[in-house]
Amino acid sequence: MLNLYINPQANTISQFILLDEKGIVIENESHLFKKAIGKPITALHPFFESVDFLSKNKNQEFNFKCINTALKGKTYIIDITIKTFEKDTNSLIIIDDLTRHYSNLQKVTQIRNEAIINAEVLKYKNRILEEKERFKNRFIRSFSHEIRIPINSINRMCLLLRDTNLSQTQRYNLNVVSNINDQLKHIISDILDISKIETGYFEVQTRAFNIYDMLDHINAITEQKCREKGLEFIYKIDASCPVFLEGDQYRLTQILTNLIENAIKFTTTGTIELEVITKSKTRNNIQLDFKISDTGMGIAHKDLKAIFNGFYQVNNNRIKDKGIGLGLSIVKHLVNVLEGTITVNSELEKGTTFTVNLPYLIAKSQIQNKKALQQKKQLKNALKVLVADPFSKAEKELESIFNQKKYILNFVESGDAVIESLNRTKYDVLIMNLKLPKMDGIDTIRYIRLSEDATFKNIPVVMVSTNKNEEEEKKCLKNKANAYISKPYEKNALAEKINALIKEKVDDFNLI
Amino acid sequence: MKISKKVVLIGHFGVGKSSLIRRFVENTFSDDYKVTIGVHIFKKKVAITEEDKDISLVIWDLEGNDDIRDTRTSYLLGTHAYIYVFDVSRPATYMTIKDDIDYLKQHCNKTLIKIVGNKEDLLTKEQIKQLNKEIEPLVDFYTSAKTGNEVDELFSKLAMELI
Repeated sequence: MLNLYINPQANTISQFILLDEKGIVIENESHLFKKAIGKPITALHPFFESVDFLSKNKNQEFNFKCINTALKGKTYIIDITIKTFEKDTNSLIIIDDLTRHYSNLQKVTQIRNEAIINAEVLKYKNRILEEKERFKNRFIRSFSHEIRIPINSINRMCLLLRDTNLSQTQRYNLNVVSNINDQLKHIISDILDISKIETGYFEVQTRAFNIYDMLDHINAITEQKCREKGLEFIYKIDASCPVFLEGDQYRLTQILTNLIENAIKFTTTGTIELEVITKSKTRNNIQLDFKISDTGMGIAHKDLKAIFNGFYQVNNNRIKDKGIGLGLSIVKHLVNVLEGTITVNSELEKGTTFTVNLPYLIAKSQIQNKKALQQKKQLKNALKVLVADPFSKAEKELESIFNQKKYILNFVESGDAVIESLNRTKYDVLIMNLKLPKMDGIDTIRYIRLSEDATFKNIPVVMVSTNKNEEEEKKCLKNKANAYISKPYEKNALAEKINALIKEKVDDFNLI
Repeated sequence: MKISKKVVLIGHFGVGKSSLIRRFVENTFSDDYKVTIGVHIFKKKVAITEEDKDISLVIWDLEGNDDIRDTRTSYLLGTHAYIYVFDVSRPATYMTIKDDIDYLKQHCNKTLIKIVGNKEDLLTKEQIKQLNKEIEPLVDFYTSAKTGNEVDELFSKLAMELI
């Protein structure tokens, strides 16, 4: 290393120039600057022009290092010393050629400076990008907030309109408006979530929640959506999973709902399955795998890496409503925020499985939860009965007849409400009074039997009359009612009719 | 009467001091960054039409330093004007501007100083406006050696003030 510096010094070429008091060259060599005897030194190089005044100082020495000069068509890097004397008015200029030495220094400095400059420029560009991103997210947040207000107003107006006297066409059109409004709300909500996550405004709310309740809720919504598309929804939960966990229930629901909706969207036949598996468990902590599988069209290998990117959409002409491609991106962000992982396996035309692994704390008190679980399990096996009766007395009568642990009774008062309820929820039996306002019992059963929805179309229907009448019974059976009974309800008669209709659950069926 | 003035360009490395001079003296530009070691000295005559005079600017292009206190003091001897150059796209090059200008003023109180933000072509007008609010003392010129924007204006104004 030392030689690198010693050698150039050892081979230094020097030049001496003597000037008079006016700066005229008296004597000079020509190793570097050409001979200029009799000429002013300022003519040799602009450097001398700007240091001309220094020669007026007596007995001084001024050193100028590393001066770049172009001489004889070549660049030299030189040190220049200007020396003045006490008694002599002449001054001496000593020029040392250190080109090789300084060239080495230049190489090292070049590398160092370039690295620093590149890092600084990159840092600045990132800062500008971050500022732009912050601005964009601020804009989206306020924009989304403003747009949500009218969307919610439309939603409220749709609900109000639904309760008015509408024709079938008007009701259908209202449903279309309402669905489109829901889609819009969903998109805005997705965009808002992404912006919240990206700006760090996103908060995780940790509190105890009943995972069975949460999954039942998802099940109820999903079952309906699957049924509308002719798909089967299967949901399983590992028995070792505790009832109460501590974590963000809302975000877990959002993750699962997003993945399930995606599965439904890309599946035309077969099943959608949600499986909850205990991956590992200690006294206080649990790792759960949430597996969402479908028998849909699958995702091509080339698309798998990109599906979690925002606004990415798999190019598939078979899907009409592709959305805006934020669903999986939000899921990925949410899983990250909840300190979990998400993986995907897929095979074209066979299906896709997303596995979300999330850590939870096990809630300390699980005793009361066991009771809740038992109740839940009972309710899961309970029969869902829809009762359509405009007379409030019927509600009390039937509630006293049915064992509430084994039956879930829902009451509606009109034919329209029956159709709406059947559209929303899967029921095991419909008990319907012939005398219903607007659309009566006969019109309603006709509508049901003409429906294209298989589950809905074939629901067992018990028609109820206030006056026993053979003609009426015939009319009911002709319109494909499964049974006919008259009021007042008799426990045994009702039990017998329903027993006959629901063969699979007959073991659990005990009215008395 | 022949007028010659020494102008020193000073500032962090990579801010475009050499490029500004090359644009002014030769009207050329290169994107390749070549580090300056020591000093390059150029000379250009500027005609001041209003005064009907010519002035020779001997321009010293100093090597850049993180800290201008590290500049060899011999380079600063006899300076008539400083052009303090920073890079608008690298905050590190203007973070210490106030201290640097104070240092130059302490060193030679009566010397003219121009503050120049170079590479203005890399920012939008809005960003330059914002930057101008952040920097103290006031920036005299926002230049681009690449496009030539405000380069001649800078040296002409300086020459005018030096006469």
